[in-house]
Amino acid sequence: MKTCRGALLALIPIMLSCVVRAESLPTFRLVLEDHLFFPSRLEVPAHIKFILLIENKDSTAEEFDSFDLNREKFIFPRRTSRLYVGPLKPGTFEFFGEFNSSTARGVIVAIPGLNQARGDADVN
Amino acid sequence: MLINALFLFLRELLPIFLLVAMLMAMIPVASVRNKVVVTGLALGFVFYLVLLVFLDSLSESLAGTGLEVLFFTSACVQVVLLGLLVMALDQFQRRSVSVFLALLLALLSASGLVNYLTFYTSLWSRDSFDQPLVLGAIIGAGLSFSLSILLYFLLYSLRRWFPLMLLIMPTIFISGHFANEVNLLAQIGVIDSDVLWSTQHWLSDQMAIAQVLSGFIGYEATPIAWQVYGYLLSLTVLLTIIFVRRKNLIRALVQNEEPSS
Repeated sequence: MKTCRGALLALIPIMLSCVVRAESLPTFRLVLEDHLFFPSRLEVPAHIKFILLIENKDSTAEEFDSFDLNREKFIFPRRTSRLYVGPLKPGTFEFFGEFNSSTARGVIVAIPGLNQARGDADVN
Repeated sequence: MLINALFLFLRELLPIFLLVAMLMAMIPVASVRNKVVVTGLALGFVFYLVLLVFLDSLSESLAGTGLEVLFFTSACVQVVLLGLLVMALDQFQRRSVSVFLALLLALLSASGLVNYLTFYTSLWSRDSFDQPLVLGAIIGAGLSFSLSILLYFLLYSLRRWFPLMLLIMPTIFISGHFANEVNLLAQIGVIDSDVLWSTQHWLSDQMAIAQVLSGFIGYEATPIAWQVYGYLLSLTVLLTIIFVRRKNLIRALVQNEEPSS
């Protein structure tokens, strides 16, 4: 029982770091509407970690999935979820909506030297 | 869509089938085995229902990282439970062994059910229910069932001349599952996501065999460094406990046979 308690206590710093983490990373936004991702091609800077905000405007849930990015995240209806992605090597990374994979598809293109501020502009 | 439904089944529910097979091989006494499996699955379903109620608020908690933290915590507890199970087996505490096994099954099945059933419930709101989805689920169930039966007979046949395999296989399985959940911490920005190597060209994550291997040993085509460290740490700790206490463990596993009538 002590081992269990110890293991759970060790997780507290992880939980706290999630809450107090400084949000100084560039942010990019994807919108899911009518089971389609907008934009379906998202350009991001290569070699830089960034936050990906995914807004689900549909009335049904979706799972953002990408084998290339090694990410999967459940997105509730009419909610916005966030993912940390990268740093990515220059190239193209496919993603899709697990529940509507025939329509909800897109690519993230990592481009070297792309302006970091561009991501924040996309959010606003 | 058929492939998607099949992959989802293999990714979320195959591990439950495999753990049941390992558990059944570990407990040869039928009455105890049935009780543990039924209790574990029923408890897993209850955990799933509780999670379902709070799923929305959980996903919004901790700055939107609540679900990831929860699933990672669950994976950590599973590793600890397996360690406790080995120690209980070492001390011939059969009741504790059954409790730890049932809890292990409950935690694993709850997280699998959340992801899998949410997928299907989201489809119920649609006008039509695609036939390929049902077919994908049926093929997934058939494949998982067949693989779990093969695993059960493999482990059962090994119990005579290599009984420790009954503990080594769950150790590899749980460590792989733990390593996969470590990736969730990269997803929420707690750890870096530097990819250590890529085997996408040889065995892509988009292949069915990769999904099966992921269920068995936690295969990942592009693992991040922390995933590999987590895998190795879990494997090393658990295998060390098993190796150090191997004499008692072999005795406990072999003596645990059902009395012949």
